[in-house]
Amino acid sequence: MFTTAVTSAVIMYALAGVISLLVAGLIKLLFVVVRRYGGGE
Amino acid sequence: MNFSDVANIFQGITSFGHSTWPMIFARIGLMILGAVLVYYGRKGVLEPLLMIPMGLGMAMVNAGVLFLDPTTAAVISRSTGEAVMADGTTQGTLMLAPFVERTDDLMYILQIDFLQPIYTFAFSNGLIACFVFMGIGVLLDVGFLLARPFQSMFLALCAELGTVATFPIAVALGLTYNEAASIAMVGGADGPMVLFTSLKLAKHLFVPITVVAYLYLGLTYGGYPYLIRFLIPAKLRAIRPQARPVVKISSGEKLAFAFVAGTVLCLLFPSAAPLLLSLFVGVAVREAGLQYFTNMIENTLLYGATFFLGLLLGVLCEASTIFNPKVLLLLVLGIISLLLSGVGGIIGGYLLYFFSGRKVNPVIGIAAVSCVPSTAKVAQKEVSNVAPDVIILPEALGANISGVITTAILTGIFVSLVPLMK
Repeated sequence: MFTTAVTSAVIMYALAGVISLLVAGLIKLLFVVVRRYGGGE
Repeated sequence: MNFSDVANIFQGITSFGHSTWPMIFARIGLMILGAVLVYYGRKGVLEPLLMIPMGLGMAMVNAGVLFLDPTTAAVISRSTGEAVMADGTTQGTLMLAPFVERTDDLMYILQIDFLQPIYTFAFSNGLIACFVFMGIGVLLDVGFLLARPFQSMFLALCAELGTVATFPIAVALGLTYNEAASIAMVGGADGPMVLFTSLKLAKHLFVPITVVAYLYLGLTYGGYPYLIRFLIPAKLRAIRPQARPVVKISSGEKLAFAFVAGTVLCLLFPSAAPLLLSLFVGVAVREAGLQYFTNMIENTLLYGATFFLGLLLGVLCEASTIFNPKVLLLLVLGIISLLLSGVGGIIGGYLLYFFSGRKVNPVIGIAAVSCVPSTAKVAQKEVSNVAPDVIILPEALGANISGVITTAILTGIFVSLVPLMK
């Protein structure tokens, strides 16, 4: 049970890392899109 | 009329005579703890907005125990499984019966216990947590995050160390996966998320877990400065961040971010969608300049929800509800989780310090623990103590806001994946 918990924790942390990077990448992409087409500052 | 009839007027006192010794000590202990919360809330050591109603609720629910009439006693007994006394009565209060779930029984209790309508229709379904989150959304300026997204998200991820590491520790100490995930969320340092996760995963323990979480979150303001001083030498705390060109973020860009990030995260984690919608709708209302909505959410919803959250958490601390052998374990795991998150944040700060060629102040790492805005203020205060002219608050707030988002991501992961574990 403990081994499963450790493995799951590592997988969940990695998943959270990937999604956090995805959000950060999304922010960068948004800047490009909004500034090019949205008339942003 | 005889002596027992007169004594019957003071049921709060006579009920002690019908309780076991551990229960008597628990009731008295919780009354004293309530007084301590009010005292430290008034002093400003703990968050007064939460602790004063909570302390009063805690003390008075344990004082106001009486013998419920046989009809009410039968309803309570059906839900809790506890036997009624020989005369058909049982001990209880006229405030709240959290374990009543059968529709008929609930309809009956809704007409008896004065806080039951708020508990049933706003607390046990997570609505209060969502109201608090809307308020947090309205208070957040996501511009600090948008200015440095990768740096902020990296720090926030490091500051989730406690959330992730406490999960296997809790399992090793005998908790089930669902219980372990619920108490591990304390490391996310976000009260509404802990409430939401424990309601979803471990409803039988959500009262002690949420109480532990809010007690400890109140203590971060007092405890984290010592952690910073212990782990980061004064010389490093005084580092002036490298001057960078100011990135101007328009309200349109912030609104677009709220829309896209919220929609994508809801797509990924439908089970955490209520919290995500609440957070990002708050951000959107602020950035769209909807002043009437902003005022309504910031003043009425946020403060109203915080008041009832504190009061209900206090009232839920009735000795018979919270009397659980796992509470001591939860107390230990809660502090481990918050401590590890603080250490993780500082490790993240150090990593950034080295990777940036020693140009980033490592103290900003602790701000990534998402207790908005306490940890960002703690970080700035600790830097100001050694270097009064060094300002790290903008970077710290970026990490702080990212902390809220990563905690929401981990809530989504826990709520979605942990129930699948066998």
